[in-house]
Amino acid sequence: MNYLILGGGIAGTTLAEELRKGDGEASITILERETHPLYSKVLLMNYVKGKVSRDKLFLKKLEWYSENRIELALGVEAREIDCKNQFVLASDGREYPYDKLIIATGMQPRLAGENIRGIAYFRNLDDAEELKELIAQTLASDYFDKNCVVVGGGFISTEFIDIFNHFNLPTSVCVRSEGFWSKVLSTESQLILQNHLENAGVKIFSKSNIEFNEMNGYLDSVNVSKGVKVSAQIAGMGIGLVAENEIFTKAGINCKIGVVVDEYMQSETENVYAIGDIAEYNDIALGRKMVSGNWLGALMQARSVAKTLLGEATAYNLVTAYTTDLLGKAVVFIGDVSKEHADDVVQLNASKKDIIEVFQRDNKTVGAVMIGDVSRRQEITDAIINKKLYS
Amino acid sequence: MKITIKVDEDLCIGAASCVTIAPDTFSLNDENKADVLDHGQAEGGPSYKRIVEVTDAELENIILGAQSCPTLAVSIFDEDGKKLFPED
Repeated sequence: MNYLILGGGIAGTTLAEELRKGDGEASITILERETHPLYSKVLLMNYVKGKVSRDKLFLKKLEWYSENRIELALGVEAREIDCKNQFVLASDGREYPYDKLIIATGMQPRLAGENIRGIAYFRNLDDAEELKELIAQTLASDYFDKNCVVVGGGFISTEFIDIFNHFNLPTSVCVRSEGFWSKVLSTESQLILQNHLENAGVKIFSKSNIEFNEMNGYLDSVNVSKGVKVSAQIAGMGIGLVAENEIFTKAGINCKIGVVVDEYMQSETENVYAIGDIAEYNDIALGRKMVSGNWLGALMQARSVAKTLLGEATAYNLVTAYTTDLLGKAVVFIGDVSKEHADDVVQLNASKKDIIEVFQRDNKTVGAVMIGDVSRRQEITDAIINKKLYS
Repeated sequence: MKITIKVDEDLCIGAASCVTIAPDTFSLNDENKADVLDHGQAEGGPSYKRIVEVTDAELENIILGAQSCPTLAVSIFDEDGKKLFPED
């Protein structure tokens, strides 16, 4: 059996590992566009802050791949997929045949569209290195203000805020809508976060359509709204994710937000599967098609599809959560937190500092947001798993 | 065999992959971090460190749980104090 895995992140690598455990003879190949073996993107924040050394980021050494006879093609990505004849033409010019193709390419950040030194992303290790350099330059510079701007109100933005705060860099946050996570949070929840950040000295500009101003190719300032300009040496971008689906749709693989698959992570195209952030899968725990972007989801989807591929059909069935910390304020999203897909969103335990919002659909709790007090995380998760109404 | 299981609460972000893979050994506490259990029990109260008697199979699963942690917050030591995971 010839397994070809596109993407060597946590999903792709876990899959390769599980396949090898179950099949000592199979050919297993990973095409990975980055030039590193598996590392933890979750640890990158600590790396930028200087709390973790670079070598500690790597979860697998190159030797692990060769010891397990997993071919890891680094710096290589798929260019064309031929689903009829079952092979992939890759950027290294090789044709990689497959019996089973598993897409684990993840999502990519939406880009600002400007190429100015100082505009920073946080996709991967290379971005983390550049961010470290930008921060070091800013700290060492003669600029009086040494300001940083964060653009966007989602998870990546919280990481930039945390990093800039660690280096005592004055920070302004620009969000296009009213506040953080506008598709998820109520006004009350957004206000708790806004007050918390402002108390910590972070400025928030909402309903902001930003423009970058450069000087000699370097970021100089950001117009945060009409007539309001903020000096900025670094702009951390967290403006959403996009799936690079063109290569898959061109191959006839059905994609909407991501690659459309069922609960077995199998696409409508024969012998093609998708796992991790790119998979738009049938979530049997939550009752609708979901795209999940957290570590645990990616890892467990890989484990369940490995079992399926090895002959034991296993549906992916798990309720996972996203967690972050906004300058000491815990934020946890469990399950399905889309306001658009909820019949009702009920606030429990709301105060000026903490809030729980539960998302109900078809008389069941399908998701929850917890800000501040996160002690009820397990009981809410259990209610979602058991398809009960939490109140 | 006896092993020591330790969660670094500074690194733990509550991803809960260890809890999912080894629920008898890890559970989330009110701080959204992983406590260490002994076969589902928290004798002496919640703790980020415990010495636990395990079989080979149990050790394998606990190490899987530790390996699954995105921040490598879980360390496992044998009874001589030698680190089994993560490698130094």
